[in-house]
Amino acid sequence: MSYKIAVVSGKGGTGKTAFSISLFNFLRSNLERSKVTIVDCDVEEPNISLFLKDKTKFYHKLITQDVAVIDEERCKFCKKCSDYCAFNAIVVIPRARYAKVDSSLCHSCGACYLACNYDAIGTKQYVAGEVDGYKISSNSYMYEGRLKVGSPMQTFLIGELKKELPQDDTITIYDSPPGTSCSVVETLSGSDFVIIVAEPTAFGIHDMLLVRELADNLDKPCGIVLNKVEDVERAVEYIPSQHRNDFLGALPYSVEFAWNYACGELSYSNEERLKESYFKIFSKLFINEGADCFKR
Amino acid sequence: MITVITSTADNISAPFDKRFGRAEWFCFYDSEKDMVSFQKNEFSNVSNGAGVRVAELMVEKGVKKIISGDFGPKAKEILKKFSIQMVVADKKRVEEIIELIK
Repeated sequence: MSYKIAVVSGKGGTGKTAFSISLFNFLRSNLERSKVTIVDCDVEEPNISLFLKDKTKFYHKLITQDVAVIDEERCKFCKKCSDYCAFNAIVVIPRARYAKVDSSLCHSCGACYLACNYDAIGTKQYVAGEVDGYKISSNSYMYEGRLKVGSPMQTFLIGELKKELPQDDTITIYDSPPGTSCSVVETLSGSDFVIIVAEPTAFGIHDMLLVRELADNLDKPCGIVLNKVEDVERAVEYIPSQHRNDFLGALPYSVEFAWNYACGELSYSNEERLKESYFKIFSKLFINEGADCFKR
Repeated sequence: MITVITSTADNISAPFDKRFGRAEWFCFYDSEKDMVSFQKNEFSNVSNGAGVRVAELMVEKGVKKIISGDFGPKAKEILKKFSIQMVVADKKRVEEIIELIK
């Protein structure tokens, strides 16, 4: 069976990626007969590949979008397309008989195509980003989307990235971008379970509640992990009482871990208390929270 | 000849606006008539494509020279195509710039 877990945060920098990779490493070493795939959906700044040193690239694809182009021979320079364009991608200057679409601003929405009465709008392929696939070990894989710098098409690219994933028996971890916007919604869609990695600060809890509400609206079951906690035993107190059932566990604050992370190393295995906390969370996730993949 | 100076408000003693596409106001200076007029930038708060749409406006208005703090790459492309001179300045107030080009 396949099972998809999305790791989100709301606030940035709470430890989504560190958690995702730790979960990935845990699963691939403990479930040797299952295939495990980690997917870097943070296409504006993918970084999982930095932490997986032994990898072999086996897949590469350029992802293109159909951007609008205006045929200046047919164009009557009426500006209707430009009025329809919500992204200010179209410049029409009637007296210069100039009409052009800026490809880097075009979202491929098709509004200009509908607007034009003179059949002057066509399309061309324009690169939005790329998808790469890596083999990490005999049972584990990593995929990442990489948005072209300056492209506004992150949501589109995440959708395309998901289409490139093999549709077979695998446990998939989606490492989400921060926030609660379209790109996060796209990452959550199709997932079976959502893990929110939050910080025990006013800002962290506020954003955790936003993303919790988003998961609710999408009918996704949720688990909450608190990261960088001073007192792990009392961590649950940071979570509003109505959401405490979702609490999976807490990870202790560690300067050493952060230091090593900045050097591209996930060092929890050196620290007993971190390792222990991670193990508790993973156990709870798979035994208690109805995450069916462990009940096989 | 019409020169545009990006401005933070609708009068010549206003501070110069160093942004082009997202400038608050445009000061149109007509050197033949020695006249100044102001227009609010309706694109200053759009989520994207401000520079492109303002560049379009400049071409439509027949502007020949624009004085601002910087020009984005997309706006630059259009202004260059229509031979509108881009001047990068670092002055405090709009009237100082008008004095310089008079």
